[in-house]
Amino acid sequence: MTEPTNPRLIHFAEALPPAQKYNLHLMVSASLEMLANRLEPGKPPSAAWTTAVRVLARFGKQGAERMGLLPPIQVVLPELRREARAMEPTATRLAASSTKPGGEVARELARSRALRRIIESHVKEDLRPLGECHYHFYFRTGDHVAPHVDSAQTSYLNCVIVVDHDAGRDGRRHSALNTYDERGGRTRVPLDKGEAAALYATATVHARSPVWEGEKVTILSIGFGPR
Amino acid sequence: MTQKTIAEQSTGDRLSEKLIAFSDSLEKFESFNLHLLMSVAMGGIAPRGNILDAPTGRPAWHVGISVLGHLASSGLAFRGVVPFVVDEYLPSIRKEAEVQEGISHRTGPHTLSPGGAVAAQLAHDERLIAFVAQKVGQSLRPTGISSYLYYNQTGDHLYPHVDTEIFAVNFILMVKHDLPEGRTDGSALVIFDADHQAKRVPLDVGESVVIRASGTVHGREAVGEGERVTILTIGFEDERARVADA
Repeated sequence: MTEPTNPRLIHFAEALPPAQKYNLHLMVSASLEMLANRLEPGKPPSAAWTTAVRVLARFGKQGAERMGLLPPIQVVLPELRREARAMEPTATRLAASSTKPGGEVARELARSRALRRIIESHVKEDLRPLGECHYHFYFRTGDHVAPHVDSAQTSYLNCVIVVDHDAGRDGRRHSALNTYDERGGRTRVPLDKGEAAALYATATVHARSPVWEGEKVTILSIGFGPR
Repeated sequence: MTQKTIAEQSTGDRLSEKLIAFSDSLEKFESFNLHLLMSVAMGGIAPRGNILDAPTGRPAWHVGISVLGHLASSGLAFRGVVPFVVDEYLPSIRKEAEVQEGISHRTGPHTLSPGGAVAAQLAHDERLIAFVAQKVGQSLRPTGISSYLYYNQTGDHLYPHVDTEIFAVNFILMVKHDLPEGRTDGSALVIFDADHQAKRVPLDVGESVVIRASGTVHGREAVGEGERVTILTIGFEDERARVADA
């Protein structure tokens, strides 16, 4: 595969001042959904996809790690579920999911030093809370989020918490967090109810695969920045 | 203009200038990838062209318009009726579009089928080639690619994008536009030009446009309930480009 754009565009991106870098990051992120639509299993991705993923990789660390059940989350999980259920009917509809800023319970968790320390121990990096937390609801058949990256202003590292996950009519849980690599490969990050993952969201291309009929997923995302 | 808008604009302007200078240094294949990446980014930033509703994306959107307009020629070169197209081709094209719909497939929030024999005949009609070439002021050749696009489901639309080189110049003919009773204005072609303003280009059946499509960001507004639109697109490329590649 010929991919001569990569090193030059990466170099170009690195030399930009922050405001321009922010806009280039946004632009490249916005290209991912349609470039991802062209990915075919077993075939090399387009050079544009590889370019996009490599450029984005320069905007932060990459990777997603399943952290499992974390005590600070387990303590408040029933309250989170109640809060989420109360908020879902008034959530804002986006392209193929709904969202709502976290309420008091979620905000308290986002400020939790205990949670931050556990995440820091997993990723071996000091973090600072950004005060960003949102519920994401995938309640309609086919709801999903297309491949994208997050803004560094809201989530350099994203703590992704599965607040609830009801199986579909077939009794299975299909939808999951997925990450993508520059070769077009997709890695599923399976999380059970109540579990959390640490996702370097600014530089890792990620998505949520669609929910099936009857399946419902509620996610809480909490954003952290580098210390 | 607010301070914020000025700041947004100048960030976008500076990034545009740098990307334009950068794009000038690229080899052809590199330029192709940058063009593709930026084209698909436009639909991601504002899927329905509603950039005013996406303030955080505005500078990036303006960068896209500017840089894509630099990477290829841009602008609407013609809008109106081409008499021989309507008189000699439109009835057969309407029939062909209906037949071809049987082999169409969803390629996004719309349906597409390849053009058939009638579309191919029109694409290679010397009168059309001369007409389109005269409107854009350059020698052209048909690329042999023509497509019917169907917007038949409520909400069907086309993301803002630019075309690849095979549609460097695009002749678009409105083949069919059915509106439910009581409605007079429906989905239109929208062009996002260098002045960054969205221009609606509604077409009656039989009307056509010639767009420098690989440098002009364009899309289609969503069709409403009961509305159905069929268009034919025919691609042309710069005759000299092919010779230079040989």
